[in-house]
Amino acid sequence: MMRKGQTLIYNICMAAAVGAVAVLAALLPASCDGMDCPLDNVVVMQCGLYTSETGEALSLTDTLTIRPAGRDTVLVNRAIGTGTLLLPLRSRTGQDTLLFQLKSAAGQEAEDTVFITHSSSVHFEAVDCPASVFHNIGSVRWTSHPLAELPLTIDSVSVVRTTVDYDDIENLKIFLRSTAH
Amino acid sequence: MILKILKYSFALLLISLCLPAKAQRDKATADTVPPQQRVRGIQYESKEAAAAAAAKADEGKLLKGFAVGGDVVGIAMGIFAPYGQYEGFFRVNLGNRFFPIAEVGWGVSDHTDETTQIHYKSNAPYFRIGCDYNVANDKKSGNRIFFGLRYAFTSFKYDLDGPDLADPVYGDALPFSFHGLKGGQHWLELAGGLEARICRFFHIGWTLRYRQRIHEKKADVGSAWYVPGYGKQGNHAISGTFNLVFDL
Repeated sequence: MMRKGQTLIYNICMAAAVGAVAVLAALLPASCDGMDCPLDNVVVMQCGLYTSETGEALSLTDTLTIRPAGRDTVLVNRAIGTGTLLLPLRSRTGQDTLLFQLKSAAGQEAEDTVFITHSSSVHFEAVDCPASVFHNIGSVRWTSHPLAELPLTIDSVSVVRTTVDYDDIENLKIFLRSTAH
Repeated sequence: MILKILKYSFALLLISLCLPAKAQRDKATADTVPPQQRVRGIQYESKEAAAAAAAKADEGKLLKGFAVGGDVVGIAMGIFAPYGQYEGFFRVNLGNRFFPIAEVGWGVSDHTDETTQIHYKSNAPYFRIGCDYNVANDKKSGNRIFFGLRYAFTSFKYDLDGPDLADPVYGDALPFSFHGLKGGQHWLELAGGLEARICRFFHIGWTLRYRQRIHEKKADVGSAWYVPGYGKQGNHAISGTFNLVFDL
């Protein structure tokens, strides 16, 4: 059993401890106030290239340039030896028309077109992170050129994941054909 | 004959003396509490002995009292940080061991980030209910060591404003202004802390809180940045309170 004096000292010590921890408690939320932004915050549609004959991943042997129709902009510039394409989608319009221009080492040239219908929405993460625009793919259409022009063309396109955000996940599988059916 | 007269006179005198006395006694009996019903005061040797006796009498009771209090950290955060809360609570003391508690607060945020220029505004109430358990050995001292659990929820609206979103490839711009976005959240809190008695009815104390989200209602643009009573968005959060507590 503590005496009155001891109780008073005990209470003062408790109050001091409480005060010290209260200061820590007040500082804690501020000290944890770090940036919450995702490191990979670029919103692009990820496309994988595959051979239509076997379904296996493909690495380009011809150069591929991708442009949006009607604009003097290059999205992919003379890519070669790659199997993945990262393509930004337009925010304002609901459809992107992308021109796939292939050029072989022999100098043959051909062009296919991919039409992507999508909806866009603003995405907010935190006040200290820039806002982004996410997309949701509705449908995809494409054109193919005759193999006589260049023996590699788009055979088909399938949508793997409709949501286009900054997750590093494939959205489209583009199957390329080098032989006639 | 004379002897007989004296004998009767004496008997009458005796009766006449006894009758008023009986009447007085009957009257006194009617006006006062019977002896067996009387409350007798107890005189103790000292104040300490009286307090000990009172405590002993109080020992058997489950309901020890009520308390109200408020958090100071949330007020300081509301003034100095991008968000904060004004919070009070009502607590019941059951046997100095269990402390059922209800907490009510108002979360506020009105903040513009200097880098992104995004402005976030929200103010809404939140509610928590739960119970603390006092693990201190000396449960009568008024100094307590708590561990507790809370269930909390809030439903709120918020506004977002910022610069237009420019498309770096196509040059388009999307407006970034949303008002009246609806959000909601339910979460659980694990609490631990100390409380010290400063004077007879006044305590101060702190708690550390670990918050675990169990349900979130999102708006179309994404999660709310600040959830009233919870803090910044995320699956879990850590926070603290510094409480002023008044026994009722």
